[in-house]
Amino acid sequence: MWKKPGLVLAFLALTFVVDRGLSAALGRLVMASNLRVAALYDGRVDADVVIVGNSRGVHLASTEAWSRTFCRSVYNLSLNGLDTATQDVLVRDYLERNRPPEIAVIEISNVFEHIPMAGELKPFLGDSPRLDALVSEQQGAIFPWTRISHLYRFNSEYLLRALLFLFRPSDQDPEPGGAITPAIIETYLGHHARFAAHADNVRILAATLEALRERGVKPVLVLGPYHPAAFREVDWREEALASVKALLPRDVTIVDWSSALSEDAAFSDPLHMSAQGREDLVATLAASPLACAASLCPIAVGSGGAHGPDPRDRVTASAVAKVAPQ
Amino acid sequence: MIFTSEAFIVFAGAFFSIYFFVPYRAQILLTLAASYVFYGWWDWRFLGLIAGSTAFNYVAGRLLAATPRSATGRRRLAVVVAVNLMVLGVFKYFHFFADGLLNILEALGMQTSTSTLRIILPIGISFYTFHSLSYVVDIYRGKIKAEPDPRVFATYIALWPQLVAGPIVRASRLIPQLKTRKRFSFARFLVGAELVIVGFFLKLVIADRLAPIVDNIFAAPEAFSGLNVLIGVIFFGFQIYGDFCGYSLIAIGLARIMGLNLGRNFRRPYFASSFSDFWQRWHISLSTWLRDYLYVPMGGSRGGRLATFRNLSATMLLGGLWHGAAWTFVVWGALHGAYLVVQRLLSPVHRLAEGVGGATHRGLVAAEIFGVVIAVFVAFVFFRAHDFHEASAVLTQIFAGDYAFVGIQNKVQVALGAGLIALLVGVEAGAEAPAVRAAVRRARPLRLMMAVSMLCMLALFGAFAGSQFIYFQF
Repeated sequence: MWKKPGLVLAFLALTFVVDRGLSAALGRLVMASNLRVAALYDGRVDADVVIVGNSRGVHLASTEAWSRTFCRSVYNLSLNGLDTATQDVLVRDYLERNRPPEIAVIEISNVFEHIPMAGELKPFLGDSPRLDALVSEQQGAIFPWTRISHLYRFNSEYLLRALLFLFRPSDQDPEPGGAITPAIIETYLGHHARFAAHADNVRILAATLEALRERGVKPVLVLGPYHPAAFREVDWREEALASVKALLPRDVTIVDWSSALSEDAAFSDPLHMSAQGREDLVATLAASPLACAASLCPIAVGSGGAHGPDPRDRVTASAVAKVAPQ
Repeated sequence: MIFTSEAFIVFAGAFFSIYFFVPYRAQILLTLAASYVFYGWWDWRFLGLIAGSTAFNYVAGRLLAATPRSATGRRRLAVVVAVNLMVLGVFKYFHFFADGLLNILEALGMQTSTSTLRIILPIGISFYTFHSLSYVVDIYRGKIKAEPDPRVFATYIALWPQLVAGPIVRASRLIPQLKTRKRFSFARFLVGAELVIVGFFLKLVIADRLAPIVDNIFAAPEAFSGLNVLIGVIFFGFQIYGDFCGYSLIAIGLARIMGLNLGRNFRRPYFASSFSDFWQRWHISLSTWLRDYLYVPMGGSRGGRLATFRNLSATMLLGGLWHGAAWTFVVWGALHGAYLVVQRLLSPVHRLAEGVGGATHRGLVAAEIFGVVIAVFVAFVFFRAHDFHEASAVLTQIFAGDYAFVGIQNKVQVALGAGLIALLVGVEAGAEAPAVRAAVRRARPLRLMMAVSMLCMLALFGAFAGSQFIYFQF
């Protein structure tokens, strides 16, 4: 049997059939999952408030607590490592396939990073021409392989997550992180002394804001909470936020929540909040002008409910004033 | 050039599209030229070094052949071995010994200035030096004849599939195979392709999948819980196995397609029931080299217990140093030497246990396998760590007793890594049974399906970020 060259053809044919068959099945499984990106591309999201950002966006909110406190349905679209270009694609695809939200809360930390991640969204290639184009642009070396092997499209952490969220009703709650320790802080300080915005990222963010506004969505930019250790060596915030502001339209406000929390228990590392931190944040926001600054006034506090006048006009928090439009 | 690069796909395609269609002279020249291209792709400046080493050992072999097992031959052999070791020493151990000397001088209160001379380690130098040493020693011992054809000898030293990370193939095995024209054999192609697929699976699906988790944990062990660090150590054990065994299988498979048989380099090492068994399964070509050219010449087990222990320890210590110019490698080798000594000391107990039958015996064997794996993984902590501080931090975290599963951000990747390891262990456990091995060998449709499955898993789970092979640094 091994001596017949036909065996090679049989091998190739079998590989091709398994590749196409298994990838089609995996595609259906992924789209049927409760993974947030799958829900986005399947047009299943219906929310008043959408949160977008990288891992800091992922850990920014307990959507259930936000919904309860702000009396609006909240959906978190943030992804670990989400860069601004991929974020732009996701936001535009979201607006095309789902009901546009009233508010898009964008956690802006990804303007400080420049690591393309569109390739990780390979399982959704073919569902979005924008994503196809971005993956081709960001990772030209791997894109042709996704045409040869459709299974290779599923060579992504999002396949594993999708399989996990086939059996879990929601992927909205971030995984619980551990407690912050001095060793974690030291490791962090060894890698990130300060942050600065990349101009290209801010320009892409400006385009995303424009796309949101065209669809009647109110974009709200926030800088989420950091552990105080993040500013221990140098307080980079003012300079970094000013550089972001300089490249955005003048009427855009960045709401600074970076100092909203300071207890160790609120963080699992200097960049990411713990479950306790997410609960503390929403309580802090509800009891201060910081939520209203982000157009997230609790219904009981705001004068006009979800569709009332913009309560931001009344906010005088110094954190907001620091980065208020010129 | 590495096997997992796109450049290699072009290289291999070009090579094999010519190789089988030319006469012998062109075939051997093509193989030699391809080997130099393969090596020079990394850094062409070191082509001179490998060419010089080849020329020296070719001439040395001819001279030694004229005086086998004589006083003159012994003196010549000593010079040849010294020159080879000196080249290896300069390029691989210069900084190790220079820095050590500086530390001693500073400890004695003497003023020193660190050298600005930085010597780059030529890739694969340990492997081709060992090829050359075995060649000249075997000529001196009269086991082989000096190769008269310089093209054949140069190809033996530089053969591209095994040039940079082995296996270390003896001249007596490889040179005769290089003296005949190779024709395409479909059966050989299938066997070789099967090995290549398994090799890529081990490298890209197992080793490279585990690598980021291991790197993350070893970079800052203090930031992780004991359980996380333990996971990192276990993952490294399988990472290095997948990496090195994967490379060996790709090399052996490609050589098989070329019509060359390089032998085996791994045989399910994590199922070894003793440390000597482990070294008959792990990096077999190195362990047999160390046995034949170091342990046995030192006296082996012929001089009583203490001499045997000394020889075992010295052999493993030098084996550790062969891996790299760092004290952590020395400790790794010393630990393996100590394991072998302890095993010999406990051999009477082992013989008693062997007398037990049935389920108890199987339980004892399983316990022995488990014990060997634990000891091997503990030694790997020193192999992986950059310095003693890192190794000590890793071991401290593990034994500190904090076993909460926190710290690792990406638990999905950990779950995938654990699943892949379970798959590998399951398959290898099956392959440990001779009846299963024979049945799989006969069931060719099953092998076809396994090859297809591995290709699909490569597409699904392969890490294609272009990482290096760990053993390139040796």
